[in-house]
Amino acid sequence: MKKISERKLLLGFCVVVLGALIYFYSNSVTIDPNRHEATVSYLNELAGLDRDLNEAVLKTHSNFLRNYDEFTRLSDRLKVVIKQLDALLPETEKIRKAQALVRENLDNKLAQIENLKSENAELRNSLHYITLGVTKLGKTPVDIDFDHLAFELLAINSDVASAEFKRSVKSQLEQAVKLRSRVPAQLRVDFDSMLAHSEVVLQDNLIMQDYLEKIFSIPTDTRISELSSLYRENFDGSLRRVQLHRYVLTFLSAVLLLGLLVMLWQLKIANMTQKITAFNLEAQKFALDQHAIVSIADFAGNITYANDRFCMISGYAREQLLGANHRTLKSGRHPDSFYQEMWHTIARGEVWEGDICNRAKDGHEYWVHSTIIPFPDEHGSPWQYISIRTDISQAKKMEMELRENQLQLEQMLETSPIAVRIMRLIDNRIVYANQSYAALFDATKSTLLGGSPLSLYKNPEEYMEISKALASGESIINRLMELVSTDGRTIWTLASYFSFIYRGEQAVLGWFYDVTELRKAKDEAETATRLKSEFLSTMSHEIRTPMSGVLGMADILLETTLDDRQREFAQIIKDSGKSLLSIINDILDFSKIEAGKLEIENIEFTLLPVVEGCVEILSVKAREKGLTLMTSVNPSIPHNLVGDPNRLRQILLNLVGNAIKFTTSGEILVRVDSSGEEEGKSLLRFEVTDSGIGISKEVSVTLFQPFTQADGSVTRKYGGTGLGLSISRRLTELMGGRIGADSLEGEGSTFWFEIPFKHPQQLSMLARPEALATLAALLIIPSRNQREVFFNYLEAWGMHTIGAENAEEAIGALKNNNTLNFAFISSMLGSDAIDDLMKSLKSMKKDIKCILVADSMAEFEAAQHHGFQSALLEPVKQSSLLDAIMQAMERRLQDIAKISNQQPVPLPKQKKSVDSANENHRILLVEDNSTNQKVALTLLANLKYSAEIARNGQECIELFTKNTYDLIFMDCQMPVMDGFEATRCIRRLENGSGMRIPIIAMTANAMEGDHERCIAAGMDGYMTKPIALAVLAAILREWLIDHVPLQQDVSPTLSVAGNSPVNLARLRDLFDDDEEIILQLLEDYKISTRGELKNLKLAIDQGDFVRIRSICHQLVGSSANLGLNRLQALSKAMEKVASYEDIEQAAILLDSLNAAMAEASDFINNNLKAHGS
Amino acid sequence: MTLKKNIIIAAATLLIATGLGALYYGMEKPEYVYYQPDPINSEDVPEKFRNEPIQPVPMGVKVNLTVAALGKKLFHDPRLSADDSISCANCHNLGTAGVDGRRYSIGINGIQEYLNTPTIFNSGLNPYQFWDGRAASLEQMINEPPSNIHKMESNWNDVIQKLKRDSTSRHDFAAAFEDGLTSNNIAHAIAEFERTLATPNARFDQFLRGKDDAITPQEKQGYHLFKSYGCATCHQGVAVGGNMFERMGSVRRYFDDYPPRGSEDLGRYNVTHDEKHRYYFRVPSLRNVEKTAPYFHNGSAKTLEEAVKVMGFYNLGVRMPESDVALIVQFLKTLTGEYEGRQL
Repeated sequence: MKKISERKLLLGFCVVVLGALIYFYSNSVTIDPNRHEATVSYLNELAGLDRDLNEAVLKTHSNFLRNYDEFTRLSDRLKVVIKQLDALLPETEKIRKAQALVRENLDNKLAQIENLKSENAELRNSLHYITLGVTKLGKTPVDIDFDHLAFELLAINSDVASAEFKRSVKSQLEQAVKLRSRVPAQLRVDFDSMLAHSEVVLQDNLIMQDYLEKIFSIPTDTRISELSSLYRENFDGSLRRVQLHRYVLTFLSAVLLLGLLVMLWQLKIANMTQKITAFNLEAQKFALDQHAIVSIADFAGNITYANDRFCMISGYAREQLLGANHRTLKSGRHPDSFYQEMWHTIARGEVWEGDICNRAKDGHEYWVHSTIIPFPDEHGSPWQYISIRTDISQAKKMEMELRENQLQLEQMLETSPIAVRIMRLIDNRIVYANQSYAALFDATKSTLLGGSPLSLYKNPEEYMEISKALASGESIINRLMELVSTDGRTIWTLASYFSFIYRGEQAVLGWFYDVTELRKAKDEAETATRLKSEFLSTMSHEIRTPMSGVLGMADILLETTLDDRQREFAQIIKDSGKSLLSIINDILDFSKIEAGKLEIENIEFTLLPVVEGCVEILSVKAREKGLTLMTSVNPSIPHNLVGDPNRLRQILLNLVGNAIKFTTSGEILVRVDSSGEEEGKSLLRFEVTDSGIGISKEVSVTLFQPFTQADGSVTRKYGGTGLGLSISRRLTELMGGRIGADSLEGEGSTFWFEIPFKHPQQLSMLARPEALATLAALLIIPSRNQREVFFNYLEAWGMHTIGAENAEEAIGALKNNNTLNFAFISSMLGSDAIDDLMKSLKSMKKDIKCILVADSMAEFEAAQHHGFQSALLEPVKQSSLLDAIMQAMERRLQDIAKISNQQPVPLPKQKKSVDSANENHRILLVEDNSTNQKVALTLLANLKYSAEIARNGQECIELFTKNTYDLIFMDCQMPVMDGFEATRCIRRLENGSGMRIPIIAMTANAMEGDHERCIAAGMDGYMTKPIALAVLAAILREWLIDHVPLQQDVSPTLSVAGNSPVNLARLRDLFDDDEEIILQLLEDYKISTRGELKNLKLAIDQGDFVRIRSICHQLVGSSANLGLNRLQALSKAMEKVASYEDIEQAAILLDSLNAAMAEASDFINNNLKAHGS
Repeated sequence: MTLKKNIIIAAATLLIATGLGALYYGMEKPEYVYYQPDPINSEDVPEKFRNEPIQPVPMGVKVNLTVAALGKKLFHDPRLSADDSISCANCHNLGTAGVDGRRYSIGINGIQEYLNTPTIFNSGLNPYQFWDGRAASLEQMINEPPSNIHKMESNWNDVIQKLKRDSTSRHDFAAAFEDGLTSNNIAHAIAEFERTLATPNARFDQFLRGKDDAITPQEKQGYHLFKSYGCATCHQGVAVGGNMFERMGSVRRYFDDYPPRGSEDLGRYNVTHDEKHRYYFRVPSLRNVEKTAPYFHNGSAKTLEEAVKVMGFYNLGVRMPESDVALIVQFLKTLTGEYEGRQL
């Protein structure tokens, strides 16, 4: 120990000495000789430059300098030298100060030299001119001795001139100035010049002397030499310091050398002691070998000796072991900490004893009981270790296996997601519980262990029951048990119990599987399903009931005697109701299908009416859009089938409806064909082919998904719920079929579906009309598809058919074949062409029967006038085709209209009813919905106005830019461009023109803020839909210069609410025709309302909107009660306007109200008083 | 055991070696050399002309060509002005003898200063720049105009930001300078370029270098007059002026007849605020003077003749006869030198 600390001391000493060496070395090389050299050279140059400057100044003064470039050169060089010195000089304060002084002095000197240069130049010139002047002026007869003056002036320039002398010269000059008038005029210039130069000499000379003195008084040389000596001092100082450091360095090196020699000596002694110890160990080790597994390792664990036993057990040859590390035998069974602990123990010099598992050469593990004895060297630290071991592999192996098994089982049980517990039977205490068991009851294992499980059961009786069953030797498996967690929560489990012996004692093993969540989910699902079903049935009932009321009443209404207009209104109600119902049906159907509640019927039905009926229903719409709608049902398809005709119709209506919706021109063909016959079954393929917008491939994938249309914008443009196709798909699938679409974008699409239908017991085919079998027909139809439809049908009936695209072909065909009996002529040929064709045909074959294929009602009706024997209206049904042929054959063409079951809705004939007085007002109605168009047009017609129609904002703007209008009614929500955008656009167009067309919004959104939105967009007024005639009239009156005739000319057949000032019918109805009471009531109303109207005016004048609203609210009520619809409407409008705080509108409406009131008074006077009196 | 021993021995050896090395080094004694100034380079001027007040412009200048090339780009780069409208070359048009030919120079937004633009040619020969000499070097001069409200109204930060956005500029600066794009380097580059703008080989220089027929007898006579009138007292040296200050009207009061228009007319006073320096201006170099009309700090003299006459009257106190003026002007025209091998 003593030796060790001595060595440390020595080492420490060495480190200190080393540190000192580095310190002194680094200090001894601080001087850079090159830098010193440069510094000194620059300092010398500085002094030289200063001297050069002085020399140049003297040369200047003595006029020896050829030019001033010398100064430029010197000052440039000075700058460089000073800059270099700034970088080179050491930064001590003294030197910095000296440097600053040098710089300051030099700057000063240079500045003075600048002055000197200027003055010198002036002086030189002046002296020169004085000499010149004297030669000129010397000859003049003036009393001035210029020669003398010049001499004196030149003398002044010499350094010796005294102040007194200068004064005398100055007075002489003043003298000369006084004599200027005597100088001859031609010499005056020279005289003046002479005087000016003299002045300059006199002055500049002084200044010049002054500058010179200043320049030489600046002690630049002293400053520079001061700086130099300071630098030298500084340099010498550092030189001395460096020398000192070097001496110390030498001394230290010597000391270090000595120290090292001592250390080497000591090391040698230590080495010898070690050798002796090693010898002793060798002898002892040999003794040990004889009865144990013995090995010896050096301090690093390298084996230096292994006896035979060791070689045998490890399986290694001795040569392999020697030099190898003990790590070679490591089995990896012990953690690193085990070896660390072992090494620490033996490294401390203590004996270690323990069991170690090692690995033999062939890989098998063996256990030894090992004692490791460290052998310390003379310094006390171990230098080798002897290990003495006994083989205990066998015993160890058994112990390990046992332990492993137990551990595994315990682990499995512990990690099981199923709760497990063991209860001792003696005292009913829990002796084992796994993690899941604790978690099940929201408790920790420690609180549960040792307790009784009884408290965890909801029903203690159940627990008793189980105990009893177990006692009788039964096991309980998967019983649903209600348990309670420690915090009172109910837990549902599937529990199993088994009796068994646990650690020598009777015990019960319990397994619990938590099913609480499952039970909860099951309960919730059941409730939700029930609620959904209830809601669906309620909704379906609740919505359909009033709808069917509306539709039913509309039907009844249509059956009564109505004039055209009323019929039209009723029809609109019916149509709108129907489309609303269909949307609702869509949604309900979809929900039903989703809920699995939709049932498919299996009844016998006839196919043809279903298909043709669908198409017929939609043909009106198609005709409105100018589309040709056709059906082609393969006549060979069985006439009657079994299936769900209503659902089939639904799918067809949807697909055909879509086709019409998305097609703007061309044809739509509905084709039904058989695509497979089976025993008792027909697979029918339905195709709807259109020439519409088509669908891209990507979109067609999602097409049949719910809530999807071909494009997000489609809903906006075409309306609809987007559910139709997905409903169709579900329905098709429910009927065991499939649906799809083939399309080329922009070239139309074909939607198809295939459904298998069962055959009924009595399968019937359409009877083939025998009478036609011998006949031949000529088809003069331009459309190929249409021709094909005819061709298919007629050929199926056995008729010979020839097709022709136009009149020429037809005439040609007739020439070739004179047996033709019929000619089907399409109205598409045009009426003139048809007339010509008919003439030609008749002339060629007198008895040919012509049948018109009309695609509009008008043409159909006019068929007789054109001499047709019969006529057909598109879409052609098989039955009507047959009828037409029969009719033509019988030459009966009496009441064609009866054939068609189409009752076309006559368009309102507004133009005819327009009063010429109001025709000069051009009104533009912007509205996309045709029903709303009609309503608005009719209302306007009632007020004797006509209007032109734009279907969206864009059309509106086109018309606006083309024509001049007086008023625009603008719908807000429209496809392509909405009303707000259109209005903004119009206002932009008007900008600067000074014109402003009134734009009145018509919106169905009676929502708060809508009015503001309209005004913000630049609209002038606001009208909510449904449009009230009174409000419309008020607006027309307000915005059109001419007065709108208020109601007096309203047709009596129109009983639109508000078109008569007093709804007398209602009053008579209410008061049993008691005219007196009615009159009394109306009189009271008149008086009170007049009062209210005055109050209203006051409130408007004061801008008291709260008051306006309360008055109006009263007026609305009283007017409604007495059937004064117009007043009611206006009051209501006013109430609304007041809520927007729009005072202008309120004022306008007040006028309308007053007018309406006056009118009502008149009406009452005229209609009631007359009766009363 | 042996490892520790080895380490110690190695360390010791190293230490001893270092110590001995230090000892040896410490004993070395360097010698120091003292500075001897260079003899003045008198170029190739014959002995007889060595004492003439005017000396020829050196035929070449030593510059760093990379830096000067960058400087040339910057000299013509309008990004140095606030609104990217004006470069150095705008006023110092190298095509028109380094001046703009206007009476007063015009900065951005057309702002005028009551000073005539001095030529940039041979500015490297001048010890100070500007009419009032406020810049002691070309670098200092360049530091001013970008921020000068009358000229470019910019500042270095803006200029550096603008140049940094340009990868070519970044690359050029990286190639020319270790520290890349800095305000000092911009100034240094432009200055280095401007140093190349010397105009050697004027006819008069050829004459001074010994080619006797380089100038006509009249021009020689003009030179004689130039010296004898005292013009050469101030307009001397290589640049024929430019290396000193002199009062405008040192003999007769110039500003009584040409009233000052602004503080610019105070001249050097604006720099030193020394009453003595009122109306002092840098004596302009007369190199290429033929091409740099109008003349004087205020650009008041439209022709050389007028300039010579005004100078003679106010600064020499004489009315020169027209014939002398003509001869002096003829001489002055021999001072026009060459740039890039072509006469200005």
